[in-house]
Amino acid sequence: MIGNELEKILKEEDKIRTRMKSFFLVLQRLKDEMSDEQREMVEKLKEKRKEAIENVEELLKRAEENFISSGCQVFHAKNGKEALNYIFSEIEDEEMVVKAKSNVLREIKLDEKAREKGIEVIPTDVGDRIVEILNEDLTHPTGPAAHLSAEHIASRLSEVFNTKIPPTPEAIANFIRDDTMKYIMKAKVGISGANAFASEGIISLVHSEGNISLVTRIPEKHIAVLGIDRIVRSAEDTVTFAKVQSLYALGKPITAYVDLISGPSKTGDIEKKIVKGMYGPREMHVIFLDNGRKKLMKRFPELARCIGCGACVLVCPAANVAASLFGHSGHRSARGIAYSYFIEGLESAISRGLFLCTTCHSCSEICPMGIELPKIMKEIRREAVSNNLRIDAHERVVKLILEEGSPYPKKS
Amino acid sequence: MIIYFPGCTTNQRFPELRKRVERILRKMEVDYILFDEVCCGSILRNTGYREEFEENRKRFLEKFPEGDMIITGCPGCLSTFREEFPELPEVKHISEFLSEKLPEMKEIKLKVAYHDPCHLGRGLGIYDAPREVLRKCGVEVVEMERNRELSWCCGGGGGVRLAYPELSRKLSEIRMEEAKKAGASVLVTSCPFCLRNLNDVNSEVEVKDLIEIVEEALDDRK
Ligand code: SF4
Ligand code: SF4
Repeated sequence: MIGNELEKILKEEDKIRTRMKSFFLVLQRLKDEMSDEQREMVEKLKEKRKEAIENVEELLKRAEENFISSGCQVFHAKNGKEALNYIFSEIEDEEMVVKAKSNVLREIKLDEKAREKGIEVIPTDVGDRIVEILNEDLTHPTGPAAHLSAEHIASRLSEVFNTKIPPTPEAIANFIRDDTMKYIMKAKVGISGANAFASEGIISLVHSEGNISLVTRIPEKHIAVLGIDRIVRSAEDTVTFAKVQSLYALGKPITAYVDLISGPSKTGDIEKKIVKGMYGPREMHVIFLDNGRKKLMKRFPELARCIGCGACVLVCPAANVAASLFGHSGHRSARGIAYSYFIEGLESAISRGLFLCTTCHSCSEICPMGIELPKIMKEIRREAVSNNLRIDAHERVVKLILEEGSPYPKKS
Repeated sequence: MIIYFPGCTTNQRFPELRKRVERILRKMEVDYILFDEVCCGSILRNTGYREEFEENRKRFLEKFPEGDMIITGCPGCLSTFREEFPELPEVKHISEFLSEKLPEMKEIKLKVAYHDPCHLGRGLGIYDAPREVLRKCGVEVVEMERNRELSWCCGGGGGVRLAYPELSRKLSEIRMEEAKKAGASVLVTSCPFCLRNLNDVNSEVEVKDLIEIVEEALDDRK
């Protein structure tokens, strides 16, 4: 029940404050950062995304053909389970794989399901790794540890690894890097999502730490899981996508790295024979994940334009305070609730906070894709109500309005 | 003829606020009639009761009097009228109405912060009118860190106060802290839901509706 959990979360005053502070920092950067050219770029991307979602079937077909012709293997997964089964069959007997941070991988619960199979999935992003090691909830798609102070992280890590880590961001980062690198060098399989992908058969991966390049180069097999709504027409569009995402996720014009990948590594330099897996992986697998997205694209095509920047999370009062209670694993906030509606159904949307939204319009105000999330929340609420999934306190007031013409009981 | 629609929350939770509006209108020699018989249905709309909203809408229209303009102090009613009742005459928020009609008044020593109600600010783009009213009233307006488009929600909307009062409460506490940090002695808002939610918080900062400031300033003139 949300009620009990909420009570617990509301008591974690420090976490709420730390989270709010780090969210607001990004917002201020974003406010200071935007130039007219950037505004124009955002508008352009919005049009491109709209066009891509309208022609999604055609673009997906083209993407598949292009991935195959550059040597990838393509698999269509209707849901998380199918995606996981494919991943597990490709992992074969490995006991450890490394992954790049990805909301889609969270969505299909890769780590959890792999653990059940005895496979350890090592996250390589610093924030992700910390959250994983410390068993905490993530806060924001690009700042998963935004609610934890350096002091807290250092002391918990010291406990877990039975060592002494100074409570400074540098010391923590160094420790995490050294530890994580061991896994990256050893892993045979690297798993990633994709920030976007183009019908030209190219995926884009956006990062600041450099880890994603390693995860997708060093292991001999790279598996990329693509949410099919993240499609755009061209490679150029994926770069615009990356720039807008960076702007709205971090308040920065671009991240340190934008990787574009279209297939496995190979060389033809020796007797013109193709040898696969030169410096990068010898195999690249691309999974097209539906998991409710086709339904979502039909019902709320506007929402399918989402670029996953998380700006809507930064401003959301419910997400700032109720944090992980508000949204779907991997997709925070109102859009996560909409996703959970399509992935798991109405009841799940409610238990993930459908009625925690104050309809304050903060998210729709900031969203670069102009998505009216509160309107979508109201639509889903409407479906909840017509399916008799109602909130008692609301029922009482509705009755009063209809019977007495006002939500407040008349004084007798 | 102008129709004043106080809205249920003002009418039943803040009857003195309604009286203040009426006194101000009379003082400014505005010809008006009052209508408060039927709820606008804003809550129905925000909590997903669409069919019930339509039913209520019909009843509302049957009872609603003839007039040339509606004024209301409730942003919830205002957005419901503007977005769902195309057959009604022009609707103005009381702050829009007063920002044009009020005279300039002498300065008073009072530092207020203005809290942008979500449905008035982001919802309808009304940010300047209430600030203009405050300016005309002669008070000093200080801005909180989160204002205008980035204004922090008081937690009172969307049925959250009903469904999850503890969340609603937390959000309002945060807002009151921000008002204090801005150095305001009064936090002024222009929405009865905000007023109610913010008022519940124990704080040395007072919470007032814009209308209270207006009436005090008008009284002060004499
Ligand atoms: S809904 Fe808008 S703001 Fe939120 S993640 Fe998607 S694109 Fe970004
Ligand atoms: S409208 Fe709802 S989802 Fe959007 S910012 Fe406000 S509370 Fe969050």
